[in-house]
Amino acid sequence: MVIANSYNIYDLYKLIKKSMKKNVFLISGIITLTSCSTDYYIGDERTVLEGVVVSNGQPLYNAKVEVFPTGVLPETGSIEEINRSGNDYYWRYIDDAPISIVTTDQNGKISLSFPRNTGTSVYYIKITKNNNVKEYGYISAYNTMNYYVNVGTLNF
Amino acid sequence: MRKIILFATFLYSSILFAQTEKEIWFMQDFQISMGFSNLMPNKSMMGDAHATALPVVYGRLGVFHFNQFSIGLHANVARMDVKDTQYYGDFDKTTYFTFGPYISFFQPVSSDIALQPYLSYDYSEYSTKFRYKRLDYSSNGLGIGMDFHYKAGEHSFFTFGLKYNINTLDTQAHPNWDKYLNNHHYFSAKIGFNFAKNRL
Repeated sequence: MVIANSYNIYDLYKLIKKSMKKNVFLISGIITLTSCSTDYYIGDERTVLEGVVVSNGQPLYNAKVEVFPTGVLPETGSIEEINRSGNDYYWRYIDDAPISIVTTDQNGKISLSFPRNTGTSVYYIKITKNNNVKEYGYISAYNTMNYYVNVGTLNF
Repeated sequence: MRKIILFATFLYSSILFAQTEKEIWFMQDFQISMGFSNLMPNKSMMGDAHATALPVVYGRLGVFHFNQFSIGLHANVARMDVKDTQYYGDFDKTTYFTFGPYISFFQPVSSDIALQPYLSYDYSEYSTKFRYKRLDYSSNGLGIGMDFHYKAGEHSFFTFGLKYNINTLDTQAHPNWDKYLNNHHYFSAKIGFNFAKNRL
């Protein structure tokens, strides 16, 4: 009985050790993935973003507007609807969290500010209304003057 | 040069006289308290974005005491809920740590009660994490405060304090938005204990 008990305890020890190893690997993996996808922002600079969202010529009220950092390197300062095809390599930030989330007011206006991302100085806007999603870009040094950018009128 | 020598001589003789009269002492004043912060903030990004900080843990150590004056170090730590993300960013809580020197004047008003007005320099570091992103920033500030002490024992006091904080963030922004994004003025209140020798 004593021998059997010792055997069982040894088995249990091995089982725990084995599962601990798995857990350690699992936790390490999660931590690694998590730390890789963290965006870092510093408050030494803040950019103010303003604009208007319209749909069929009318101001779009209560649309969700999100600002995301992106690895895309734009060549001009024009802001237009984004076509993602062919740019997949650069969309490494796509699943990360937005730095800013606001909703449009009754005049379709958006006004927000966001701090400096340490990894990029390019951002894009994602607008959502009634399950319709459109993305606009890019906010960059080309169209940001003195920490201010007016994205103009965005047709949704 | 002559004025400097005269001033130095005066200062030296004052300190020497004070030491003779035991009017100088060191590290004999400590305060620990808890309270609120970000009360009645001005119209600013920080004020609009954050709810009242509760609790704030305060600590203060008087290092050098000369008659009724004290010079020392203070610190506090707190966490504030983010209630409006529009100009702040998509975060849910902000943690901050403040420290710096202070100078105060201890004024007895009765055998049990004393007032202690003070000025402090406040350097603050803020940090917030939310959904795979992190934001760090800092501010410099000036604090103007008043502590009310009620004698509880030979060297101990119940303390209630009010302070007005004038903080400026270290953020570069558009001139039209600079004031709103950088200035953060608010009241803070605390209640706690003060332990001090050679006072009431």
